This record gives sequence, C-alpha cells and structure tokens, in this order.
Amino acid sequence: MIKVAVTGLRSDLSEWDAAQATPKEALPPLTPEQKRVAEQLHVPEELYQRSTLAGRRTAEKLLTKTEQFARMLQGKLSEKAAKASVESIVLDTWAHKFEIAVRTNGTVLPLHVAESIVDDLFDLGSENAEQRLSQLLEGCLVRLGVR
Amino acid sequence: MELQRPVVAFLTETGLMAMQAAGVPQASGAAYFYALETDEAGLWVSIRKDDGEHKLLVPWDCILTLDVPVGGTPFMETIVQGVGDA
Repeated sequence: MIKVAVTGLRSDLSEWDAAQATPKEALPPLTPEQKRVAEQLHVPEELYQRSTLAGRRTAEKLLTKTEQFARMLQGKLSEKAAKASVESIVLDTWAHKFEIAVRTNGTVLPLHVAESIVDDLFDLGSENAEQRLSQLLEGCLVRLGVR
Repeated sequence: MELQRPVVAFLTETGLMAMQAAGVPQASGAAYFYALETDEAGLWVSIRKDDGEHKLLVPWDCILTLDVPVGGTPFMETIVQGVGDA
C-alpha cells in the first residue's frame, strides 16, 4: 500500500475558468474558516467559493497524477531492488516536487523528485526525464545500502 | 517563479489607477487575481476580457503586499495498491 497525497492550493487556469462559469448554486459552501479568511482579504464570498472549487478540481487531477507516478515508481523500484518499496508520495504544489518515502529492511529514506521530471516523462515520454529518475532511484538505493 | 493560483494583491494608489487604465477596475485596494508567475518586473496575472484571456503585468512597485495561499486546503490523499500487494 502506498499513501498518496497532494498538499497546497493550486489551480489550473482551465479549472479556474470553468469555476468562473459554474452556476452560483453549484458552488461549494465555504467553511467558517474560509469565510473568515475571505472577509479578512476583502474577497467576496462567491469569488472565494469559485476559487475553492477550482482548487479542489485541480487537486483531484494532481492526485490522479501522483497515483500514476506512485505505481510507476514502485514498478521501477521493484526492478532494481525487490525488497524496496514506496511507502508514501506527497506532491507539494508550492515547491513543485514529490516528497517520497522509500523503505527497505526497516529503513525509510526520503527521496525528492521535481514535478517537472514527472511531467516531462508523462507528457513527452522524455528519455532524459526517465534517465534522471533512474539516477535518483539508484542514488536512493545506494544511500539505503541496497546497492 | 510559477504560481498558478489565486492571489490577493493589495495595491498602491498608483496600482489602482494602473488597473483602471488597463480596464480592470478594482473596488478597493485588494485585488483578487489568478496569478500565473512572478519575475523581476512584477506579478503576471490572467485577466478574462470579452475577447478572451489577457496576461497583465502588475509591477512590483504597484503592490503593497501579496497574499498567496500555499497550504492547508485542499489537501487530498488516497491509498493505492503497490506492485506486489495482495
């Protein structure tokens, strides 16, 4: 089992636009905390609701991307070291990086992968990105004492 | 720096006038924008006009302060089956 998560608030421009066109009655209600923040920032509640909707929809897409990366990473890791496993992957949307915990023989080591590497790999099938990812994994396994 | 998220920019008087000149009137000193990125010139935002999307530069000296939400909500998580899991 791999724990997969997305942190932070990021919105695709396309989701932002879609949220602006969403009927008012279909907007998610704000939590009391969100209402307070909207007030502090002098942002109309409806605008804040649209922003929240765009963020939520983008997060769903990013969660799917992170899940796909988790499966791919686990597959690559298993090829290199049968006993190593990916314990968790968190996409930090502010830092634009995946924070990964790799476990083997009871030891957990952090591994950071830039989101751009994964985007290049998924969107362009970039060989450079694949090579870079492979190098990062090798380095991680060396630090874990598996290599 | 890439932002890709809504931000609140508190603008100077000059900033407010600049927004009006650019056809983006603001009710108060706080402007809610979709921020694309920042560079040495300022904050690049996306503005929807009648003919489609426009990118607008808000120069740094027009901004008093910027509020950028970076954490907390939304936080989404799930569990996926790893390779070899039962």
